[in-house]
Amino acid sequence: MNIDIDDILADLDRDTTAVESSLISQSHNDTTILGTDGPETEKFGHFPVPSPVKDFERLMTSWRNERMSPELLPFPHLLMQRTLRRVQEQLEHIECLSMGYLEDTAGVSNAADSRNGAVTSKLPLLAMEADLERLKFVLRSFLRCRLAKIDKYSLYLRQFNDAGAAVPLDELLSRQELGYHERHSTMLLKLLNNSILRHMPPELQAVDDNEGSVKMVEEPEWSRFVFVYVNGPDRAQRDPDSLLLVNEETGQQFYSVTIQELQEEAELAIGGIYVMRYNVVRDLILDNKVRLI
Amino acid sequence: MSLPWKLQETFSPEEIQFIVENEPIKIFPRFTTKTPVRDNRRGTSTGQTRWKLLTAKDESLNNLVAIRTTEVALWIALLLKQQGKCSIVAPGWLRLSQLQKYIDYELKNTGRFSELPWNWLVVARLLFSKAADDLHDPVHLLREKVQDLREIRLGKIGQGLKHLNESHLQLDNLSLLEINELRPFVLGVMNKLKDVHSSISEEQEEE
Repeated sequence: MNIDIDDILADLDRDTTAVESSLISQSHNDTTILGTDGPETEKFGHFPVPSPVKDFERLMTSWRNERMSPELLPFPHLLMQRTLRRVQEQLEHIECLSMGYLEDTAGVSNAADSRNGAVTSKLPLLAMEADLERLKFVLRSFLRCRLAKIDKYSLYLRQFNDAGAAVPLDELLSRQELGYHERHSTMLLKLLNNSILRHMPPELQAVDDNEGSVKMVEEPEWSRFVFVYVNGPDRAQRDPDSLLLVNEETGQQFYSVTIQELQEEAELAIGGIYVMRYNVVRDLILDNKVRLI
Repeated sequence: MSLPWKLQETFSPEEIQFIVENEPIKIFPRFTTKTPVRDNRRGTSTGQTRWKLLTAKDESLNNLVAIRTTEVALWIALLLKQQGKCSIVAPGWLRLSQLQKYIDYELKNTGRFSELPWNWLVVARLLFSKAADDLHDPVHLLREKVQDLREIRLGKIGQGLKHLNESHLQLDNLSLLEINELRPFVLGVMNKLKDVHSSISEEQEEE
């Protein structure tokens, strides 16, 4: 007869790493609020700052989602704040270190031993610079991708300013992006007005006319196909996730989604790769249960 | 626009490599960064610089002991390898016997892909070019097997393209690079199919 003591062992494990596990649960809380990034995030201001590596992983996910999704995703305000501050600090750190090198090599020049030491201690510096470049590349690519989308949907985004929009524009965009959107659309409008529109009859002068034969406001293609990877809820705790169902035949966990246009049900098994319509998986993406790849 | 048009719908192969380079890999370091306990009174006067990284775990790098395996991010491993400061431990699946098992599986199950890691093509290519001397088996044989796997899977993908439809598709165990080269084609065709389908159903409703 086998006695299952896994839960007892797990209990013991937890005790020995009490401090660590409390940290993990707190950072877990932080991930759940990252998705919303709204006004309620101020309440959580006293939480310890999540580790740089975790933040980088999150940044990579938002970068990949942003690149592949047809719509403009909400801007991760807190995450970007932390990352930008870290970039600044690291830049200063590297500068301080390299200053130290200059003094060291000028001081001792002849001893072979110290020269050998200098070579090995240059390695961290090299890696830190490469590391910073990599982080900056992701940031740049992320922001450029967002700018391209702001260009594309500028008329559509202007509608967000109207009362009754689902998401306020300042939650969707960062402050700088708001400024860019504002000024860029004014400039474009001015160009169009001066060159063509003023020669048109007054009823044809609007640039955001949706009544005519062709809609002029370009909306995101909500039902475009995307590749998705189902990673399941953020951590191992699967119990509280009410959307997650279990397949009775295979015992596999999956999310059930409905494709409205076809009245079809589909199962997204955890760990699977699917080609899906974006509007079908949009809520799961915003909840971080599914990633775009 | 601010993003080149060819990057707007997909990733470039270099970006795929960038994503893969963030994954951990095992190495044998050839130098020690761990400060011995008895040196503690001397403090940092030994001139050792500490590793402080933003995108990867740096604890393991500050505690390197020569010839003791450690896990670091792949891009650091490649950097160290370039300097001759470490040798890379090839992952378990990158062996002749293991690859042969995958090939057998692929040949036996025509309906599905074997469970290779999602980054196998990129990792194999990187290790073949940058760390060929660290692999257990001769590189040319490994290359052969990897190429076999690649061709078998390409054949299956070609078969699978028959099933493109307007609702959805399941492609478990397809690697990131394979997805990336399929992406423009598959998504384009499926989007068109979807458009055609939805226009038909709209017409029916109008009638």
